[in-house]
Amino acid sequence: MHEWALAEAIVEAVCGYLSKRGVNRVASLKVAVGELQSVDEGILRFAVEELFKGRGVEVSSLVFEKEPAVFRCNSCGRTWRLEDLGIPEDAREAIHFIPEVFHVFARCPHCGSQDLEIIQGRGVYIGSLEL
Amino acid sequence: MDPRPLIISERLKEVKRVLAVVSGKGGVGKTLVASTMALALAERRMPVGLLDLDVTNPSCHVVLGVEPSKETPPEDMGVLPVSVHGLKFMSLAFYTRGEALPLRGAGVDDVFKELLAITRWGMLEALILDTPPGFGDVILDIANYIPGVGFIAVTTPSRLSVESLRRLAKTHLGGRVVGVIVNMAWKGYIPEDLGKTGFKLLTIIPYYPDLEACLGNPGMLLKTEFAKKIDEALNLLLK
Repeated sequence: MHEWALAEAIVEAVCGYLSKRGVNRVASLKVAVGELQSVDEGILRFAVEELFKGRGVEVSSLVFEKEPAVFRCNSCGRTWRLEDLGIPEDAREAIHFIPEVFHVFARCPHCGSQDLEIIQGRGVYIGSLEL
Repeated sequence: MDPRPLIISERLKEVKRVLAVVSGKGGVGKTLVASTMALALAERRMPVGLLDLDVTNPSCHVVLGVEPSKETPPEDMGVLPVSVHGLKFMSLAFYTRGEALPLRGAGVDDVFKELLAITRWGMLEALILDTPPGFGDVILDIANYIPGVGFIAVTTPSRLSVESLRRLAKTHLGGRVVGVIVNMAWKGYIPEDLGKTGFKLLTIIPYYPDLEACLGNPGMLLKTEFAKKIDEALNLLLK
């Protein structure tokens, strides 16, 4: 249920944006959901919708967009996808809470460096918001 | 848009006081000061939290005798700190299984925001933060996202360490310093240059060679002269 904490962050940020403009209605909200964090999109959507209801905010279109994770090795410059990194299954829960923890478990498949950079697909952020 | 910054103040709204233990140089005893401070407050029956923000290399769990691979912060609409020795404790070590986390600045910033955004502390009289040495990402994030924070600067009597405090005093962070602890002092020596910082002296702690034996044993640690000195500092801070 860690998704509720993320949902609260999204709703707090949107409500902060709306209150500055004196409105309580959103035409379109796109939330990017990075592959690395393995967020349960169903729970996140439910939590976001419930929290918006509780704050009296109407969102006409709420879209969650999956963003594939891409990594670059700062040592050899090669880019990788999540499945290339060979992260053990039992490490996924820790990464779910704090995505950067993947650095403990992942190595560049080419040079073995842990100096990997997340290019995209880290976690949850607000992709776009239209009033 | 990053949704995490706004929720951080919400997560800390029931925390009366946040104190970050900082230093310009490493090896001055920040972790032991921060951990003992939290334990001493818990001993006073105050609701207290300890957050290890030395994200690439956390070690408060070593002082507390917590085996990070055997504990998991419970999930409840976020994550709850682990209750140990009367205090609430959160560390990245719970997620890294106690291993080092090699991270660049952007990653450190992300870890800071994520930990603060998802951890539910509840009501606390004080939250003690342990920090990495220097005035980098974590210290800047603390100053930016926790407006009411007070810095407790730790130094040894060495000129190398005191010089970094003098530099700290000149930065925009200098006004956050609520006091200085001189640690590992030999024969009560206080460096003259400490006065130039303008910081309030909280206590001078002699070098105790036997303190190492207390790591991992909070009960024993709280009975030491070191802990009594930390209590002195707390008395001044809580006045």
